Amino acid sequence: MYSGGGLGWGSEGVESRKIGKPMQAYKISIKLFALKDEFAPSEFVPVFHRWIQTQALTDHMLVDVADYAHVHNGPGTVLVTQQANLYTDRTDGRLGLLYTRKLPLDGAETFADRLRQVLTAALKSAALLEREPALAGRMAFRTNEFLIRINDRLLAPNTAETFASIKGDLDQVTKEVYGQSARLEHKPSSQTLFEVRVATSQSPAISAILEHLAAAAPAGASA
Amino acid sequence: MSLTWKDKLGGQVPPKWGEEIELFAAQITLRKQGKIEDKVFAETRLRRGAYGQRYDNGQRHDGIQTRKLEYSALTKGPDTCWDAPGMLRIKVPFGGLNPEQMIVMAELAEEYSDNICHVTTRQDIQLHFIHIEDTPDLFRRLAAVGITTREACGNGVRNVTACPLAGVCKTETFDVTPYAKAIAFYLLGHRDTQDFGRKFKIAFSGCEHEACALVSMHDFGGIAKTRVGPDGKEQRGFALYVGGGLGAVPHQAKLLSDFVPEEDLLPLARATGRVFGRLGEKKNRNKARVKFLVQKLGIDEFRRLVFEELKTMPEDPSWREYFNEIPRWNEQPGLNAVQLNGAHKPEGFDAWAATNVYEQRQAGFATVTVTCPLGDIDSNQTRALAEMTRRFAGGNCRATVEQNIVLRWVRHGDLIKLYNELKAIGLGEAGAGSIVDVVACPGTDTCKLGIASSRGLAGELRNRLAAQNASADKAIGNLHIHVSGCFNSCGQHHVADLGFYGNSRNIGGYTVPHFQVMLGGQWTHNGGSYALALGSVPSKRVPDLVNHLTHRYADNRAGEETFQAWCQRVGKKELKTIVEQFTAVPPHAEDASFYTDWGDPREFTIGDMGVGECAGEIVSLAQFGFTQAESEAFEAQLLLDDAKFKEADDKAFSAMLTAARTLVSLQWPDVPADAETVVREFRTRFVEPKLFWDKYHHDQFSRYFFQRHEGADTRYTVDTAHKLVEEANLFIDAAHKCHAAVQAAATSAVKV
Repeated sequence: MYSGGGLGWGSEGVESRKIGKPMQAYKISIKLFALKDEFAPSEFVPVFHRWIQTQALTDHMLVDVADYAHVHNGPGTVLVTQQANLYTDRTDGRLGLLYTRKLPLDGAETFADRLRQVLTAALKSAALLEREPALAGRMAFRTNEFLIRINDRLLAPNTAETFASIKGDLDQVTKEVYGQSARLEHKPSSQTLFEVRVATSQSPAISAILEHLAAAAPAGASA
Repeated sequence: MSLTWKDKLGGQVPPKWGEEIELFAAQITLRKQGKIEDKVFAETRLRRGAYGQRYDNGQRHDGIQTRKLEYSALTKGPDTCWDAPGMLRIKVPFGGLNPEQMIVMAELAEEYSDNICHVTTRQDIQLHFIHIEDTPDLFRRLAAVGITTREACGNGVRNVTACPLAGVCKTETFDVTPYAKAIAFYLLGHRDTQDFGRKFKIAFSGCEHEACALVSMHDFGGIAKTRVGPDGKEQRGFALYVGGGLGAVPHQAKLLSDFVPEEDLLPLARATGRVFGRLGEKKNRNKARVKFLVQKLGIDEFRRLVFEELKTMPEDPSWREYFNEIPRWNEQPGLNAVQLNGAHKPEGFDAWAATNVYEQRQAGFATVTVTCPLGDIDSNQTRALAEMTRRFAGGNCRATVEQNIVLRWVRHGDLIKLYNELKAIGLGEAGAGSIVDVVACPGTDTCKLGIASSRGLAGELRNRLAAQNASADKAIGNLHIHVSGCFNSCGQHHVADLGFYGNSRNIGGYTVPHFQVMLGGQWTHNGGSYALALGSVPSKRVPDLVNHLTHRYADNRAGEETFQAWCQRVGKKELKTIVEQFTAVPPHAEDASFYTDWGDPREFTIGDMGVGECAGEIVSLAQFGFTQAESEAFEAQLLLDDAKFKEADDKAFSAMLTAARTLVSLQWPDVPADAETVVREFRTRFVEPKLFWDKYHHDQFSRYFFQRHEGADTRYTVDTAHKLVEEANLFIDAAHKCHAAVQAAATSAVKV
């Protein structure tokens, strides 16, 4: 009897789709914005290939690299993993690392847990990119602003109701990140995915944020 | 709030398509339980457009070593890991898209793929890196906007393509769009197209002399024609061609008939399918396309067989039902014509208009080609294009085989506004259809058969030629460059002026990516003739070769001599000498860049090639039939679990009918689907002669079937429904045994 287990979808995958509340959504995306964009269009291609060689991302099965640098303000270079896609995304002309979760998260009981885990994974990836020797220190991410998106129009349509239902979790996690409340901006739209822009006056280091998130995580959770 | 996409979309999905999707969802579950054979599931999913991708065999060379990808043991086909990313091919008959469909595709690309909609060389849209378990929801969401992916891949009728200018073209005989649409939906799922040994590609052109829909390279194609009928009135029809195809061994299509009246188009297509299904090769997949059958029989004999087959087919009203649509098939502009009237033109507009704007035959309107680099547009661009299609094009747009999108019925007065909006989203590049607009198949990016990076090379050529402003060059601007990742020609390199297909050479113990050079193909005249193969060049030298050849042509051509004519005049020997100047590969220590491919820093290897799925799997009709019966029985069980007792009862009986009909079709392929006929024929052919007979239980299992046919137990309780579900499973098992016994008896008879 196959469950599609291991690193696969798992037998719960079909069941979770039957639950109709955004708090159940796990396809969460985080976009962290680069401070500067001084990169050649395909500069990240060899970086991601090397990450596969060195298995640079823990808890992810690294599968492949796709390059869409020729698409204007598009997804850029994509690191495809079993668990998530990582994009050097340039939507709206703003370069950033977009981490998009694809698989359910182990040990994440609440939306806050899931958000915390995905944010942790995104930040760890960003930190790795900042340290990447081939980029010679040119990559740095701002931490006073980031985007949270839910890549699931069924569980989380881009409506005021969705926002209201998870606002508590958003407040909780962003408070863990910054030590105080952050501004949460949401615009409902029938066209686009649910998205919240998180903004604050603080710019803590990624390492500090990761420590805060780790401290707040339930025991045994991982990203 | 809706719980599932199935619930949310409800009545928006056409019922028949919905049933097929539910069946496939059940088959996914059965496969996960190991209850469907691997290769049967592979062909099943291929026939729903769910393709494999490179590395789905669970290994990938990372540039240093081959690394195992630790997927679970479950597979979705022979040597194809269940959880490995796959590709969804979305059929778009004649490339026609409306804004609602484009918006859904943008959403699907975001939620299930890598945010990219890819336009293919057959007017399809592809989404990459999808998971097989997401496909039922993908299918539902597409079905809700009128799109089916059924038979996008596999051994059946693929997307029916047509000229993207059909209906607005200045030189067409008549608009072929309604005919392309009619044949696409007539043959979709038709029982006479389910037993092909290979894929079958159809195209329609309105013009003979233009490139149009490249009929000459298709399995079956029609070029619009008219004649004066016996009543003195103009009669519409087609010159029909059969047996064309590219692939490793290209064939030009042969003339099946120089004039087939429009009313005979569908029956003749069906007759052709029946002959192909009956006589086509099925064991040797490399010889299974219809072009080989035509070659083997000769076109005269093939024609004779098709027209003989036509006579055996009973009249079918659906052959002509679509005629009512033809007068109504008349795309309308969204707005009345308005002229440009000397409005200020922004920078770049004139260059863009020169290549991307086509004056329609309808005065005051233009068809605008949106250049999609390498055929890729992201979700935001797709949504924006949908909106522009609505506002500027009356909702009318089409994908093209050159991997672009055309917006039709654009008023002259709106061209500047449209140009500015396209530029704002990065889709305002000039050069559509020019030398800069290089066409490439996915190649080693995602295809298991790719040998060298077609997209990498295409991207490099685009950049270099754009930097030279080559599209504006009078001599070379209109040349076509096509690149395929391997000899299978998905990039259609045979019909390009300069074509390339990926291969490799062993140099000093290293495998080095190369491309075979093909020169002088003919794009016009429906892909009128094929290019000459002139030798292989290292991938990294191809741009230099292109530069040299195009300049040489520009400098030496006689007057307005075409590239094809120039190649013929220069001669193969001289061209080969030119190509050979670019074959040298420096030692690895001197220049390691030759040992990687364009856009891929990994040391090159062909070790990542896998087993392609283009040829699908040969699965007998009986296997399909029994698989469907089992899937229906499974659905019945699910309905029972949900306490839907009447529905479970109906579905269980339907499963039995499917199994019985599968057996009957062994003797009578055209058996109708109605219950009365199936029951009668099953009784007569299998039960009375005791073919469907159990050694210990005798006719018990057939009695389950007959009793239910006489009438359901209308109490519809959990017990009555459960009983019938169990009986259905026993009946299906017995049908399998009967089939095996019949096959064994047939084999013994042959041996004797």
